[in-house]
Amino acid sequence: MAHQPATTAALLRHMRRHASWWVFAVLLALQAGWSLRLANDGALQTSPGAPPGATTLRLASLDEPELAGYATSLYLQGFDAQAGALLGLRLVDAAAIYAWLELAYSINPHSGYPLMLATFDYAGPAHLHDEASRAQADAQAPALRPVAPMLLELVERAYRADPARHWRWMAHASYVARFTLHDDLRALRYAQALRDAPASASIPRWARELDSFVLRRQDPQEAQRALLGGLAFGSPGADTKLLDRMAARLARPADGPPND
Amino acid sequence: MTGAAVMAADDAAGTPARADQRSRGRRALRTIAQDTLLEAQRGRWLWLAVCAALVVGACAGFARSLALTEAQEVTLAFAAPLARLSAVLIVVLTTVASVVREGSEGTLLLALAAPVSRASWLLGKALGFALIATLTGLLLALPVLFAAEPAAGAAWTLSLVLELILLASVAAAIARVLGQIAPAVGAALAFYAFARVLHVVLLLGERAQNYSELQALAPLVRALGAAVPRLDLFTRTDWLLGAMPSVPALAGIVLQSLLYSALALTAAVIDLRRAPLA
Repeated sequence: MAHQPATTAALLRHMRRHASWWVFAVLLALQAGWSLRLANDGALQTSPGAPPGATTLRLASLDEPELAGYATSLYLQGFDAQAGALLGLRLVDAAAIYAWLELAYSINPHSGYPLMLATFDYAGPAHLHDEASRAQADAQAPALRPVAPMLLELVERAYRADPARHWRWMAHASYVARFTLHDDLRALRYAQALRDAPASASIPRWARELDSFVLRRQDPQEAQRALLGGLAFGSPGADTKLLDRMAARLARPADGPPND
Repeated sequence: MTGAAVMAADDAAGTPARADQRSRGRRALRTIAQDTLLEAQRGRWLWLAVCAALVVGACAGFARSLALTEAQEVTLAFAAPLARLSAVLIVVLTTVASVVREGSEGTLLLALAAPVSRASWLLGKALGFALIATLTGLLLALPVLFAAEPAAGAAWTLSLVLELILLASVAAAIARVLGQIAPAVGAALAFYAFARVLHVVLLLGERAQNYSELQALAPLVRALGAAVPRLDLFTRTDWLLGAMPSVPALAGIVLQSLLYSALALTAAVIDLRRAPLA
């Protein structure tokens, strides 16, 4: 028997019979269109806003401070990359970032993640912020409190509370103070704190002698290479992922972007 | 024949009868527990647990891929709470649905028509729920065990299983009392959240004692705190990150789990004896 060609009437009959499927398909297409429209409508945020209180975050995470602390750190880590666009860390609200990092540290003080973000990612851009704020300051609008030193002070606080756990970030903070903030007194104070750490903290010798091993060098690249070498070969349980990141930053040309 | 001799003869005749009765009781318990497990399996509980374990593993892997440092700690900090919460949801839903269905479909009446006491029926169900809780806990612990140190992972898994057994008993008691799925699931989850964060609320209350307007409520909250188990001491993520629990702490968790499970099941037995069945 010959196959009947599909007529308009047959098509209408078919649509009537499966009306719910057609309605479902149309609504699904509308939903997809609506979602795509919203996705393209995202304006970049330069500030994460004020952080919640530590107790609020603790209650919201059903008393899982480790999860809340790491989730906060990962949120901050990715804050410069929103909706596939790179914002550039120097454009981010440094004071708000400091408040969030302090929250991440206070809720999970065993983790060095917020300290890594403070020294490795945010101290440099925050210093640029501070410089710009100082340049624009006048009698009517005095400069805001500089954020970069506050970030390093957060690391210092964490180190003094638990030197065995956070000495790596203290060594990095000393490097940042010397070569990014050009605050030699602060850098030497941090190096002295590393030297004075109790033996129980198990800090390697190169970190105790940071002033001669890293800080005395004139070239920041050379100093960073020395720091990387100490962390890679002179420290127990070196974090390979972080070392790779440091090495990648070292390999970048000197006029490259300051943030990853 | 003396009285003592008569009693001895009665005892001799009664011993096999009592042993037979005990054996029948054990068989009934086993059958009810197996039926509970089978019913949960038909409700796709096992598939749900496997899927949840895969999702937890995927989430933890995603977090690990994002981490620039402390990758191991980040993995565990995400995997452990997600696994714990997923396991709690699965066990509460399965337990409540099973108890409510027994009541609404009349299978409870059918079971009690057999020579099985109400307490035995509930004990059988509790055994089945404990099996479900144990298997769910073991499955959901797998993504955590892949990343954790063996000793810490074992302590965490043991605590998760005990927590789930406790919660299954509480959910069964709540379902028995409320008799409807939605309110019972809501109440069981509210109980869980309350028991997890109560100590934070109490700490806040103590700090705010001097200026809080709710100071008068403090004794009530403390009394409530005494009536719920300290679930914040169970299955802690920091165990996996280097702070291993002491043996007395683990023993305390075992005791607390057994005590509270028994308490919840006793409450369910009281309700089962008190309320009409249909």
